[in-house]
Amino acid sequence: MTAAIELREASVIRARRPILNQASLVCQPGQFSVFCGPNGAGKTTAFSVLSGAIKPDAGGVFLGMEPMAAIGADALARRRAVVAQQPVLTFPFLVHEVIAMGRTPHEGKTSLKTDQDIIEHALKALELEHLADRNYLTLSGGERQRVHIARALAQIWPHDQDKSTIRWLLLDEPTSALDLKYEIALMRLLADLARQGWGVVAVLHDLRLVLEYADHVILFKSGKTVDSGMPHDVLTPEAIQSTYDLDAPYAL
Amino acid sequence: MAEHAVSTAAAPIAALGHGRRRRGHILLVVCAVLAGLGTLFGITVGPLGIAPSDVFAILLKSVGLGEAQGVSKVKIGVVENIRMPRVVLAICVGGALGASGATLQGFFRNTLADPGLVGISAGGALAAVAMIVLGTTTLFELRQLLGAFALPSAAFLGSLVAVALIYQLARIDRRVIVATMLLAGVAANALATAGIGYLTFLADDTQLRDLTFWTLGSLGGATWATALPACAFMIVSIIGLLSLQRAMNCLLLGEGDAFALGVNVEAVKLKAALLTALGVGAATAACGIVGFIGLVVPHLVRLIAGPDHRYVLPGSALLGAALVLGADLVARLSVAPAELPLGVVTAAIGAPFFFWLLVRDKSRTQAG
Repeated sequence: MTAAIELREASVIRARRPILNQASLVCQPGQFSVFCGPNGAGKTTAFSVLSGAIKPDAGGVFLGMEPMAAIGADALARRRAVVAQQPVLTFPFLVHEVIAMGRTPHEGKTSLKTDQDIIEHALKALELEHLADRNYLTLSGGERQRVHIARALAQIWPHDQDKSTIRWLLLDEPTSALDLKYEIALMRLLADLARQGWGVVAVLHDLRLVLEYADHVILFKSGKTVDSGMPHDVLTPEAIQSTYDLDAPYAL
Repeated sequence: MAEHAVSTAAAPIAALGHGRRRRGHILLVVCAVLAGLGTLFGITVGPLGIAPSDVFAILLKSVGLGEAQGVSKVKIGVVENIRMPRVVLAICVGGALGASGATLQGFFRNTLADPGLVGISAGGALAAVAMIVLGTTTLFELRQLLGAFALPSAAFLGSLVAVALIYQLARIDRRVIVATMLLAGVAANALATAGIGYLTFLADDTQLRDLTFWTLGSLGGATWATALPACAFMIVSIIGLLSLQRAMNCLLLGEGDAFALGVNVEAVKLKAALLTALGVGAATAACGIVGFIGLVVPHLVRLIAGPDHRYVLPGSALLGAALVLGADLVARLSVAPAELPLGVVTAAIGAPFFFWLLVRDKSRTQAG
């Protein structure tokens, strides 16, 4: 019995072209896993399949040996949270209200006190306390990104009634709008959550960050997974050259 | 940042958003009181003034408690058969249009969506008129089968077609193109007005009230027989829409994020579309196209209580009821003994409000 989240020869076809082509991968709980690869390599598609947002046209996606499709959206939402690439919120919610939406799948299952404690933890974890009562629409792009990460944390934060379930945090380019300080802080947070037993899966472009913080890297090219393993083993100068079509080997 | 030091931050989380929540609660109470006052005035005020105490006695008599002694038969008749159905219809129409407007705005993630502007009312009106005119010929058997529910059912279908059409047209790649949404509404409204005009021309006098009833709306002439079936539809719609509060909040984050939060997105969208069409269609079948309620009311509620649908939906239903009750009083009293179409009054309030929204959005765009 494995608790991993995995794709088995998953394919996604769009306009009769496979944008994900029989991709297989396994991400373990307790590890910070990262998807890398050039633009259009299928990282975000694989990410969406893994999160349950799109169903593969062929192949399977499993969470702890269970087919993802067999888990109800509601039950799934209590154990895995997703930080998407582009937020679309255009209504003037306050920051803590946005984070409180993360508690939606627990409605009626956790007490108001528990929810408030969790929201407070999430605010702190992303250093958002001073913005808690601000209108979300007045925030900068990086601040908004941190709000959505905090919302995802609040969604699956462990609490007294449920400490044992494995938490899965999936993030698609979560550092795209963050400055250096928060980029580093987020990497540390993700590595820390993985140490606490969470499964963390992120799509990242900055290979240096991957090398420094990730436990496991999966390399994508042309809709396929070409290699996976420890970052130091996978991200060799030659592998980077061939994956990204560079003129010469590239050492990090 | 993962080390959670003891917080020295100012406000505890329980105190956050306290202002908004309190304003939300106060708003709900105030709207309910306004709707109550509107109901009282709607029953007591008119060519025949009836004292509140008499109204009370008559209402007790209607539910089988008391005899309403000393109250004239005329007054009893006026309250029971003219004013009561009218205010009950006004409450349902206002509630349904307010809640539907709030839902549509969340559904399209845009605050310019309104059942009237995007043509959902027009679709319902056209289908209702078609049912009346063709109900004696082509659709005779269907009309017989549905009985008193024929009109609201037809209007529900007409509104549903309009919702589906606008959704298909205005949505590209999980995004809603606002200009297309509003232009589709312009086209739907023009088409429905033409269709209603043609059908009114075909109809004989006994079949149809005039064109203005359908295009500008009126609560005049409401009877229990016409009001009750429509009200049943509207009440189902309002209650159903209120149950979507949490899901509508999540939908504002985008469909992908809503799914990640455990919302069954397709089911919620389908429910929202069906219930909106049900409420708007029934309102239109009973009193024609009453514009701008669904636009103005959710905006006012959001201004006071913020965008949380747990306040926006019930607040819009209550304020919608209060506003339609008030607008109907103006319609009845301003040119008495004649009567203005209700839609004239709501447009007089709503159209300038719409302009204000456009000006506000324009200055925001320039600033940004």
